[in-house]
Amino acid sequence: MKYTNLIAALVVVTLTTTGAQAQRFRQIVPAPAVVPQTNNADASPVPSAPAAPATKGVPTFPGTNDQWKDSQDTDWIAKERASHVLAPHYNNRAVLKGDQRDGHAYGRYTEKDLLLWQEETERLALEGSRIFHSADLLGSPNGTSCDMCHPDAANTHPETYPKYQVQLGRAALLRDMINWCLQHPCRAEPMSGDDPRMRALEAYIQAQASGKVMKYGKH
Amino acid sequence: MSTQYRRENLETRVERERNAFFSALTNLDRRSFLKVATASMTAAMATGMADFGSFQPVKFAFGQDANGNEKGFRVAYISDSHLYQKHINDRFANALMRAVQDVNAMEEAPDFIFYGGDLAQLGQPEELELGYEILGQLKYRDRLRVMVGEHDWFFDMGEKWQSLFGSPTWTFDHKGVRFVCLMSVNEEDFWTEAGISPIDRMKTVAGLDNQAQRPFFVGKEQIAWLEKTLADWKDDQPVVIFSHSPLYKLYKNWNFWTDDAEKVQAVLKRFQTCTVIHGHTHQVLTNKIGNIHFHGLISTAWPWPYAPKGMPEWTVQMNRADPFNSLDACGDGEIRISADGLVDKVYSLWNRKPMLVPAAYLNGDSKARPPRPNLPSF
Repeated sequence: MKYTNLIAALVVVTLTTTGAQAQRFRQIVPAPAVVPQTNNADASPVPSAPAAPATKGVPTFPGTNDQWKDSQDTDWIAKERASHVLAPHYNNRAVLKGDQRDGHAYGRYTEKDLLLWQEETERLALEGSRIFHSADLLGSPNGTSCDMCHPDAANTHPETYPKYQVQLGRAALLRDMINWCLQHPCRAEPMSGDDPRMRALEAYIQAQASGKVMKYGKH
Repeated sequence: MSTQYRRENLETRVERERNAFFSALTNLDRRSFLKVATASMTAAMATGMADFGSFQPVKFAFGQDANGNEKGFRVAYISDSHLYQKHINDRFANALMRAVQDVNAMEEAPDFIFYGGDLAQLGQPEELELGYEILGQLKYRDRLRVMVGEHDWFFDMGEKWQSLFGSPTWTFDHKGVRFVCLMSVNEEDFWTEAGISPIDRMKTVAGLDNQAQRPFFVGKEQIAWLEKTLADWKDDQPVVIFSHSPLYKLYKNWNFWTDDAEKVQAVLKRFQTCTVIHGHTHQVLTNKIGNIHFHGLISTAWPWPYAPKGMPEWTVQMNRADPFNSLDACGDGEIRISADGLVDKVYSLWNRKPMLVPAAYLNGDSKARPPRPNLPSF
């Protein structure tokens, strides 16, 4: 009984104290209404704020948007398709058929899904094709690009990796060979495994080997 | 890593060391020479770096006439150097210099030296001038005959190239053989309507797998000129034709192709001994259509992979190129022409044993077939 009273008293005290602290905080925290002036006389004057935009949504700095638009080659996919052959994407139409479709959330795909899969995958591979064929995008200072030895990604044989690369003295992945080519014939910097360019290059090279049988370790 | 290391690339270093080595050799007496030679050979063998072609010149017997006498003559060839301006890429320039050294070092001077086209990579005047300068170091440069390639042509439509080397088509007779050089890398105009700039046109044509360009063709006028040029030449007199693209249809996607090849072949088919020598394909490539023998030239810059389909059954492929050896599957060579006008083709592949594709093989002698590769292309 005694203890219960004691605990109750403690709780009351604690609550009261917390309340008081909170009260004090509320008094201190609010920001001062006036921006404190700097004591340094040499400080440059505070620049005047840019003029408020006339209409909501118009960029604050006119021209930036135009520059951005100019830098975007919105037509690049069509151009890449016209210039370089990409192996055909796998035809997934079989998933639209079958009797269990309606009883299974996972399998309920539509034509739209198929289009999405193909477009997104091909875009990644086409981006790879663009990099593969461009010394500038590869960062190659000597004008060398992958297609100069590997037209249509020929002789890259991604289906043989991983394999012991005799000349490297270790088991190599496709990306190890890509990086070797970047550093030697191209004299470019190697790319990290998650570099978007590396992902795109792998996508293109693997897409071009469509239909080949995986034979890891083959020389 | 110092900047100096980055600037002096591997090929430049090898070239420098090679030059230093050879200039040192001239200062040695015979005993010291043998010592150095044995030591370097042993060292090379020990590291597995030696390949059979690099230390001992391999000699092929010349074609013999009925009495067993060697007769005939040789033409040296260099092809497809794809030069950039030297400050951009010194590797290709060094490779062409090596080929020039090879020709200069030939024991017997060639009757003439043939350049197979694609001297420049992007048809830039500076690139062509660099090539002109390097080829000018040939000991017998007055014997140089130059063919044009698409990389030389499509920036300014041949203006600079012609100012340096003259007409892209020419003909002459030498020791009973008529030589004719065709300009086979014409393309239909795909640029005017699309508003493509000269450099973009050049870059499009320079991409082997670029589908925005058109197939190569020789053209009616030139075929008529060829017919006229050969009109006084009898069926049993030998003919050698030079063209940059192969004068047959191999693989369209890479323009290993001449669109009107059949029409050119029709003009040539009456000749009992006719050989077509072409550049562009950067590989050991052999074909025979009717009586006509076809030989490709190897490049000094890089080898192309073999076409995924349409390969002529006459071709014995060269071993797959080693990417870790920057000059592997590159080189130069000789065209050996026997007294009866038959052509034996020598591919002097750098860093490997040379390959000989004799006329006898194409004429049905299976013993004359070149050795098969153990590392064929995929």
